[in-house]
Amino acid sequence: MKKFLRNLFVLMLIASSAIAQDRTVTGTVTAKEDGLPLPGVSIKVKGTTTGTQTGADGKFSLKVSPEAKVLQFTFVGYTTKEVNLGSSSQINVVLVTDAKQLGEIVVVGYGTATKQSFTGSASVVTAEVLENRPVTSFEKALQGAVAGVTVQSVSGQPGASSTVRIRGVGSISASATPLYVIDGIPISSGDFSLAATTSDVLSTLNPNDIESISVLKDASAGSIYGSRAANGVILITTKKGKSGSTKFNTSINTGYSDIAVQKHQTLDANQYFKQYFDHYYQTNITAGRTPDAAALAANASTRTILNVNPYNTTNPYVFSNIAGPVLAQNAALYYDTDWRDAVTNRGITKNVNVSAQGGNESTKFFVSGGYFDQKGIILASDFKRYSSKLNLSNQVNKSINIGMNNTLSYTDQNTPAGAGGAANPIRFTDLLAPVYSLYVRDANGIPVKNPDGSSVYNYQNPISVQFNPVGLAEKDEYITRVGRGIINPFAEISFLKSFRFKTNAAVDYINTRERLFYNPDAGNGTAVKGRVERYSVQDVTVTLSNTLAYENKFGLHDVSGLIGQEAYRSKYDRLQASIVNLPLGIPEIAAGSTAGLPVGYFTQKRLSSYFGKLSYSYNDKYFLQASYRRDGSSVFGFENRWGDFYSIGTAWRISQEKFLADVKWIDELKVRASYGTSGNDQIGRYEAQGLFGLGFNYNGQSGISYSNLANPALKWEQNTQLDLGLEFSLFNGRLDGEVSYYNRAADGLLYAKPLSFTTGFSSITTNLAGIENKGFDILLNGVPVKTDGFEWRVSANLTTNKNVITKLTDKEVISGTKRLKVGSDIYQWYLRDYAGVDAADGAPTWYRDVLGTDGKPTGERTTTKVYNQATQYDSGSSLAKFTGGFTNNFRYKRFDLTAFVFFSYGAKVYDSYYSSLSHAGSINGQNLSVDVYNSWQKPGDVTNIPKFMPTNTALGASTSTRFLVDGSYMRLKNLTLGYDVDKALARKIGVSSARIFVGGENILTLAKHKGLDPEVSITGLTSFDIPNVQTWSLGLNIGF
Amino acid sequence: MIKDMKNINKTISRVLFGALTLTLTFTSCKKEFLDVKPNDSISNTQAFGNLTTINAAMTGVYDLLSNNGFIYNLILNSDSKGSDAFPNSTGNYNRFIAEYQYIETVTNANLQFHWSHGYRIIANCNQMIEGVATAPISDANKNSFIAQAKAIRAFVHFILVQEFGAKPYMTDPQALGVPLMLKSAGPNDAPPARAKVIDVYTAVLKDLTEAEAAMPSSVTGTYTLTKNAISGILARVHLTKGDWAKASEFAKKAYAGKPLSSSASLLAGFRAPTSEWIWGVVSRDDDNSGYLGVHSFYDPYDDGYSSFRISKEFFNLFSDDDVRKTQFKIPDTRSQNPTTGSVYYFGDGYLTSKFVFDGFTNNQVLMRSAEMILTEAEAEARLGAGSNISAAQAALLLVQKRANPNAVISTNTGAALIAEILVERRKELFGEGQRYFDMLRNKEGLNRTTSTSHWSKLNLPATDYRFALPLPQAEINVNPNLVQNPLTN
Repeated sequence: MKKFLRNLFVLMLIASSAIAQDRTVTGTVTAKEDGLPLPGVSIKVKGTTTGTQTGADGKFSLKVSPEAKVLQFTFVGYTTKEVNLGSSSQINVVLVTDAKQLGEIVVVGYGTATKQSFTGSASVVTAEVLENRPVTSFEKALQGAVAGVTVQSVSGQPGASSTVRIRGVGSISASATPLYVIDGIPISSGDFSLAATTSDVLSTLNPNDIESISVLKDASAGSIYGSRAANGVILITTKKGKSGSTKFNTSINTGYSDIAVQKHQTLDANQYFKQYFDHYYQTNITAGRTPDAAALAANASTRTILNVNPYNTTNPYVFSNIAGPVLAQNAALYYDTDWRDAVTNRGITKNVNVSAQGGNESTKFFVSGGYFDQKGIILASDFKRYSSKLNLSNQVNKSINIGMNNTLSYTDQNTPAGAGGAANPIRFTDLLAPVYSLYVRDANGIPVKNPDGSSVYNYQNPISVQFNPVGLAEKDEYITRVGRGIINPFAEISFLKSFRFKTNAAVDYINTRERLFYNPDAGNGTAVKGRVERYSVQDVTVTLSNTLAYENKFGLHDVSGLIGQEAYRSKYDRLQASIVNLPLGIPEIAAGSTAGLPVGYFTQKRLSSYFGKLSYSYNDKYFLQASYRRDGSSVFGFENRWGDFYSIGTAWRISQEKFLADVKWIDELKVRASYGTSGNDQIGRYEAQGLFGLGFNYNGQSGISYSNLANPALKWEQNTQLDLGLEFSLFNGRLDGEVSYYNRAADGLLYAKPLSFTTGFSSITTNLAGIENKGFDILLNGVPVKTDGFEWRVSANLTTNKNVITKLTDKEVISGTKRLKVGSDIYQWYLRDYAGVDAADGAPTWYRDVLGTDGKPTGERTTTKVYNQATQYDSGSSLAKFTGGFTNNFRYKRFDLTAFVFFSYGAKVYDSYYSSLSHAGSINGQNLSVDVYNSWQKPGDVTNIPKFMPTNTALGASTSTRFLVDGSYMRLKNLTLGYDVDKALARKIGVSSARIFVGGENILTLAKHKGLDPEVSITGLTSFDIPNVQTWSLGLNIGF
Repeated sequence: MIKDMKNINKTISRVLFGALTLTLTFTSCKKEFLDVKPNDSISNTQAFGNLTTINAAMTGVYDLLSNNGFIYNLILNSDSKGSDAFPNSTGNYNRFIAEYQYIETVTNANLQFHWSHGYRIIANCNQMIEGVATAPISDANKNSFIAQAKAIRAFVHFILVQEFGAKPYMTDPQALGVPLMLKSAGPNDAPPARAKVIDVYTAVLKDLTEAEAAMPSSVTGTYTLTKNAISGILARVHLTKGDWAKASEFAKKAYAGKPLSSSASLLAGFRAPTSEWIWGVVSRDDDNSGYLGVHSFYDPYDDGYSSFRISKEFFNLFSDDDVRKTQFKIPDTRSQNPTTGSVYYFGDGYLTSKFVFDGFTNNQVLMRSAEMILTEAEAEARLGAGSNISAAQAALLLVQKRANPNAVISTNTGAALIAEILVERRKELFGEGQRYFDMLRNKEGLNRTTSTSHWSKLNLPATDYRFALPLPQAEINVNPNLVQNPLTN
């Protein structure tokens, strides 16, 4: 076919040249950025209809008449170029990508739109932000890259989940996670693991397969997704093939990681022992003993209370006439354990991607394979991903296009134990004092050896008895393996010129298999001679959608519309088994002899939807768009299953008006406004039903228990959003940007209303609250310098958010450290207010309300030493007031340098690690912050740190504002220096392009409060998570 | 061309047909499509539909009652608050440390759980009592189910009023008790206020009396309630409110047919029922509380939490020929007899081998004949008449003789006899969760100041505010009708 066409073309050329003096111009069109030929570029003689297109090799040949003066080269996504026809018959053209954002194509719900015609608010992230970053999942790379989107990644565990919020937090009890859609198919997100501390199912997707991400932020953009769009929609478009010769691309990068932010400074072994010693010494002196006797008694008391002596002598401290109690002359530590160092190592990331894309006029393909391997900075934490992608489409004939998008991947993750458990290596190292030994030691302090020469680990310590994270990391297992396939066949039929029918059938199949093993010798498994648990979770989502689109142009009137139907069914199926008694130490069910009760059940969710949208524009100047969706959901009560969602949006491109035609410095100016509704149904699948749960077994009998209160009126929460925006491009594309104001009002919020425990329940899910989120998101792009050799680009974005609770049935809801009430925000701290230390006795004090004779607060405050008496007060919010990012991009000849900074301002976070280190002696054997040296010593001391004493009962480290700190910070998220190898040189070594780069991730953090990684969970609470990492990487990208 | 057109049309219709078929199969009938039911639950309307589901609901109540955070912590809290058994100062995972030091905060998780889970059990009992009343089952079955549900409802109220009531009954019956939940409450009902201590006891006794009367004696077993066990709870309630005659009467009913087991059984680890177990919690390979059982905390080999110790002063109460003193000998391995072991003072106190932690299948005794016999002895001694004294002395001897073959009948009377019985009670029942409640009802206060073992040397008079737990903050937050206990003296 191709050959035939070419022959025909040649024949025509010969024929035409025979009849006139027209001449033939030939040449090649290439893209500036990669120097590769561009197929499909339109070439037209200006002012005529004469034209042609470039072929797959970027070459063209056009017969022009003598009158032709100028050739026009146009191609979607590139700046149109005009070339004067001289006498030459050879014209080679280099096209530059269109810098003007307003010209780009944006992927939107059930279709695409041009940025200039779109009435909604959508931000686009391109592949270059996502590719070759040393992160396990694409959403981590979105942090600071998109105005209006916040991403928080708390854990440095490879494969850990992140929290993504679009334009604030719009839900209380329901999940506020956005909807993820890949190539038009809603997919599952979240954490399906049962054994891992944290695991993100989105990390099954290879970021290098992504072409672009559209973040739909307002109603005009998102309402078409109805009951699932309340917290925004993230549309992922994967790479597709382009016709032309097959192109290969290989990228390899490798990186090294370390902890990003140093934690609080703690006492070393000498200091720790001495801290206790000093207390006992003083007590004995006060009791009237001689200094020598006091020192002897204090040595003994310290050894007893700490249950350890790390020194080479029984009484390491003696009294000296000159210096008071000091370390004895020959006394020395046998060891000073740096627990943090013992459990950390250098993380290593390897990332290899190979892809090929190409095709011809009728069939196009993109195929890729990826391997990502990240070893975490903590022992036994790692993540591997094997991924493959095949996107294929075939134009059957002029009306039918069929195809299939496939993703198949497999991840293998190891996580150490997490949370508050004794086996959590972070908790262990954060808490245990350095006076305890990593190894078992003999009387001379020499580590005892195993037969194989390795040292025997010491499992004795007062904080986590029977645990040693280094020893356990070698023996215990927490393995999570996830297989995922997203299979999406589709067919499109175009008919009657303006109509297009599309049917999509997609399966998102997630299979999680996990194994947890507690060895029989130490740690959690000792009492039962080892334990194995196996978990199997299968989550299958099937989505079927049919849409019919219409598009036509009547003069200056553009009309398009779409109607559609979609059905969604999801089934989560869980099976788990456990066994104990594994004396052989083989980590498998088969090796055990005493089984626990297995668990197995499934849950289902279904949605049935009908939707439509309509767009009208006049003269590319005035735009009107509307959408409607009706959703039925199985989650809600019988009375409220069906809901309606709509949006309406308008835009006006002022720059198209005549009165601005002469204003040369304005390229584009557009205002837009939209309003609409969407919903959220992210709650438990059976919350509306009155239920007795199974599995309340006793004595081998099956039992049931009242587990859920019925609420037949339960319905989705509704989100109403107003968006006003201004988009502009000025000075020939040197400055462009977008400013949006949003106001999201959520009503009927799904909300677990706390109940009096006397009902037998702690809460009931209702639709009783309202929340408003408003603010601005601003994006600015500029090109301050642009010369032939040097270019400097700047991009900055800023997001502000004010979150206010507008409605609550209860006067207030206090849950843990937060209080919800009308007028305050969703993450408002409500804490006992620390009032410092009583200078007379060193006791911690807190504020409490003074009560009048009527028992009501008078408004005055006093202090108390009784923690239970302290009053809780509003203490600020864990939500940032604003967040943002700015990127500087420099390009000098073949070098380029990108620096991307993220910042967050105004959040209050709770430093619970610091509170653990401030126990002031209440937990003997637990490490102490160096701040203990500032603690109260004697009457009259003015300090904020209470008195230290062993077995302290003053509760100074209890939850209070003492540990609430300013979480503002700024972080150099990414720094990349790249070099593009000269084309000619590249060709010499047999490739078409080559690029080398070095990059750094999280390499600098400036925070107001030190000792804590400021990127904490959205609730502001910190726990014993693996800390975030900084990574240096080196990479190579080759095209051929 | 025409042929082409035809082909296109054919393909179009194929695609359309495929899409239509797929859609119809997938969504089937629209109404049913959205009807999904869980398969790990049943509807609340089915829960009391037949004997099988009612049986399951009854089992569910026992399962809630056996929750470690409730029943095991009840026992461990109680001993921690005394001075006989207590948590070591280090290596204790912070468990029972606040309780031992009497510094539970209003947000203390253990305290809140006792409250919330207690009322959860009560709510399930109320469901049971109301659901069974109209269920299509025989009257005999109804009586048995309702009797058990009422007895459990009473048992939990009785625990809560002792823990959270502002004063013990014997100190001030008019003091504020706890909310009394005698029928199901929904989300829209006003949250209840605290009933007076005396009113709680009245309701508890009414439930128990009805339950005892209705409970068929044909229902047997150690791990669920029987007529004996309900009598035992009645004996405890009467003893706690000072109704000595009834306490003695029901104690005797409780241990009827449950003779004291051999003295060897005192060294068998308290993990399998003996002839004297009246009521207990079962623990199985496939259903257990892991490390959170009582045995784990007393384990002397560091395989469990292994954090509880015995104070020197308490240890010294035992005479050398008392077989229970062997409970402080630790054999080399847990499968050996304690008589082969040695005594270890480790950390802040003595280790004990009374509770053997062997894997996770350690059944927990909640009530045994020795307690009931000592209850009888105490009640008779307090009644004080001549015949009562001799009955008290005889009952006391039963327990003493079992532990010590050299024991002879006590010649004490009056206060001395009562004191002797109370010491015997401590020696016999340490680690079994009786201590704190005995301290409360006897207005003992707590004095650890002279102890060489205790690391929290509290000295609290019986009137100290700390003998009433603060109500949990989370309940106060949602229930404006509650008055908090005093938070200082």
